[in-house]
Amino acid sequence: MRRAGPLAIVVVALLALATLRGQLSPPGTVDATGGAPLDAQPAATTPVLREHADDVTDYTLRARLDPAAHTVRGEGTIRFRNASAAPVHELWLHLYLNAFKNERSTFLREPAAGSRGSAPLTDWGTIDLRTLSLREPDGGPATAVDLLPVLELTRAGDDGTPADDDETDARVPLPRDIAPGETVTLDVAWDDKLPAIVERTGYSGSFHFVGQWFPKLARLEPDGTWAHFPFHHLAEFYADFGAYDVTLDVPEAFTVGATGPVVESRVEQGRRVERHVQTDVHDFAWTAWDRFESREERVGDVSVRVLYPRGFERDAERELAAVRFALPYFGARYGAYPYPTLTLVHPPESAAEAGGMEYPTLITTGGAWHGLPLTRLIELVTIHELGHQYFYGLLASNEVLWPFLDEGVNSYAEADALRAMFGDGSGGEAAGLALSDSAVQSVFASAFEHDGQIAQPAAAFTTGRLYSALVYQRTAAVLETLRRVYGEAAMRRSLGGYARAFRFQHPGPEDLIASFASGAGGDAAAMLRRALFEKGWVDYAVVEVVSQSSSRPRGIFDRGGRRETVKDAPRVGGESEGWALVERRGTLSFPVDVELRLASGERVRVPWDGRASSVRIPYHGASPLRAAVVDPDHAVLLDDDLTNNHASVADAEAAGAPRTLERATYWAELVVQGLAP
Amino acid sequence: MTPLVRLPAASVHARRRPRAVLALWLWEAALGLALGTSVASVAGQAYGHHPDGDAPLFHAGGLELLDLLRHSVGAEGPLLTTLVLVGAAAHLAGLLPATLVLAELSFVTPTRKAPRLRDALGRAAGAVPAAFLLSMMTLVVQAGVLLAGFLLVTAAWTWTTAHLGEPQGDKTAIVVAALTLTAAGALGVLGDLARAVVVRERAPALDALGRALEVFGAHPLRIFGSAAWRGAAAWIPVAFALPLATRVGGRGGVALVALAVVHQAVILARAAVRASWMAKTVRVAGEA
Repeated sequence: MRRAGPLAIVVVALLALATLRGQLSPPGTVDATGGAPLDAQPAATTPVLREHADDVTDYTLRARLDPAAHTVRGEGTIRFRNASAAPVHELWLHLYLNAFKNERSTFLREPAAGSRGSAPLTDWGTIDLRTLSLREPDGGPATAVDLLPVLELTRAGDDGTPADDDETDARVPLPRDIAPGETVTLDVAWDDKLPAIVERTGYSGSFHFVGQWFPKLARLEPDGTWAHFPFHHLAEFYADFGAYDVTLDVPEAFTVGATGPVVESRVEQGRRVERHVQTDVHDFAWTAWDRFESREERVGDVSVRVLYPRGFERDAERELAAVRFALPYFGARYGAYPYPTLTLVHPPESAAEAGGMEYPTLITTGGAWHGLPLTRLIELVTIHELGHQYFYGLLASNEVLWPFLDEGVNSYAEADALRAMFGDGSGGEAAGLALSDSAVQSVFASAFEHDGQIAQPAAAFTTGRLYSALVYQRTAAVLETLRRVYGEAAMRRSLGGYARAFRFQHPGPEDLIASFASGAGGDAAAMLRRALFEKGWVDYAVVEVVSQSSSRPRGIFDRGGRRETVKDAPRVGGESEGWALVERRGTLSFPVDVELRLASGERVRVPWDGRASSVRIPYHGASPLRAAVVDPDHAVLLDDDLTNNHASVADAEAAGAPRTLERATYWAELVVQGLAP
Repeated sequence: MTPLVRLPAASVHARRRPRAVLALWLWEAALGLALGTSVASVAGQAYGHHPDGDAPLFHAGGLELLDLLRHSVGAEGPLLTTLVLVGAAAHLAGLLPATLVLAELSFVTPTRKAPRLRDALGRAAGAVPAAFLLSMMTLVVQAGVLLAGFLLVTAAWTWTTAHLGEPQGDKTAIVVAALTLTAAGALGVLGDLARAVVVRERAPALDALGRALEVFGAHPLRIFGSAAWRGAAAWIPVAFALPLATRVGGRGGVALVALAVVHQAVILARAAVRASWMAKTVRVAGEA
């Protein structure tokens, strides 16, 4: 899911001021694969891609939409295999539409300023189970055990505290244990009342986006514990892989978009019935609207379909162009996209909260109908959500506990792909001002770097702004710093290797760090850990630059058995000497270059390992030292303050800011002319 | 003080008074420089001692620029104050240069020479109170029109979006907004005509407004069109200068000087277009 921050507003404002030229560079001038794929590298560094997930939970569902009442009536079966090492004596079902049932839900009780879903609900949402029964192994529904009477929607705390009113995380005690390896079948039937569009789901007029809509099993961890969660405001999801066979029944005039390809479609009695089947996924979402326009094309082996409101043709084209570039780009880095279909849904503006969200093989985008290319927002959202097909879809980490593993890592993937597609103007470009997505990410994140650690559960973040800054932007800035410092090849070994090794798995933070340890080295992994878990930060600064003519040392010297006092300090051949004092503040350290600027115009690069808290870099040469710049290429994107990365000798004449003065005066004159009476 | 006589309205042209155009440009450049210096001081504090000066702020990718903006939090208050003050000065104190240009355009000495600056200033200063009154009246009515327009835009967008979809809703809103701006612009034209009458004939504000209404009512499209094409034409040099600014980027030296020259030529050209419109208002007012 994509979240916008205050800096994005500043950036848009800046671009608006700098605009009028408004024509962006044509995309796609860079090879979309960005060089040799990881497959082409030595086999020792290339994990073999898994072809399929471990199939744990299969859903066979049928759902009927009533668009006037905004309800979905559902029924079906859930086949669950105990893939853990321990017997299972209870199930946990997520009933996430109940997050919008009343103001006592966890979702509505958690303030999350600066995030979507914070506006008052205009219509409530619910999910009510009609049937929940467990079939016995040897029989069908006739032998089922009704589990509804024992279902615990709410429960008291362990310490006897009153029952929690949240109804999104239900416990189902079982009449008997499910043994390791055993598979059981649950019959389910339920009624959804969709809320007015909120967060990621609901309706707006006749537009319906239906996510988190069915009773869904929590994930069973290998040790037999359930990873179950109420629906938190800032959190997303976590589930086992499986096969989804879902039949959707909507009015004939409605167009449907859903997870997985259509394997069967018919129209009967004024209703459109579509059956979608997709294996190796861990969620299923769908949309239905009677005003969708549609475009389809093949990108490689993938059938890509865009659903969009009438009049949004320009947006649809830009989204398709982004997919054309990013699908092979991500494939080269993180392994080929394994599904036959990809559906992009561009919601109407009235349902913008449904935009910018990811589900397996289905993503939602967003943007105004006119698609003016002032910023790369349309491409950014599209590529970000497409990246989630990897960092969420194929690498199904626990989004609730470790949101940085999907949102943060994916924000890096997004910025990386946008840079490959658009170059330095990957965030937007107008009137000669090019802003990169990475720059926006790093600067926005730096403002919050001391406010919390990146690696913590979503619910632990106190505001949406903090969540966005640390989970999304800060993680991306950390990874981009590692790429710049340790190199592209190391990054591809580390993150590419991680994506391939843990495809169809549920990796945790240690898996990511271990991938960096093997791909980029121990130092990189140590910095990654510190940045993620310990609020790691860094600020490089040049604090002093001294230059003087070389001269013989003065003082008392014992030479050849005699004591000699040197009072004068004659110059030595017109040479100069001096030093630059450079400091590293903070808890992170990266090797950097220090660039010495000489009076002759020469530049001398001196590498520094950055481990100590300061270093004095000596200089001796024919031309006087005038200034020094630490990390002149800005490899360390995490650097807290770039305005102290340089210093000049004390007697240096200030260059001032003539370029800024010229531009600011000109634009101010234009403003003055606009305000003239 | 030399007595001034009115130049026949049909003979009033900005091109005959380059000094007036220069005065307008000087006034706008002074205000622009005041504001630009405030912004540049923030950049100068951070990058004034960088060996490349403020060139890093123009690096592709914008990292240094964004970083400076982040570290300049707190500076936006004083900058905004400066902007408001300069804006107010541009509008209120700007009445004197505006009336000065009108006086320069409208009058000559008995020997048919351009008026001396002192004489033109005297004429202009005498017209400022009435011009101020006209300006305030115009602003108030324009604000009312814009408010009504905003309400209309909102209602039109809501209705059309609900019935025809967002693109049609946005397009309808744009049309209604354009009509609103046209109405506000027409009021501005009326105010400009009345100000020309005030300066040229020393008429009280309300009398001048009556005359302006009479003139404008006779040929509304021709007069508004005359203002509109000049307004559009004034943006042409801006558009031409943009690619040069892009090309210069963070370069200094000769390139920067050349850019500054081009930019000031743009401002001067726009000042000339404005003076041309003022001359037009004098000619039109003189037709009545």
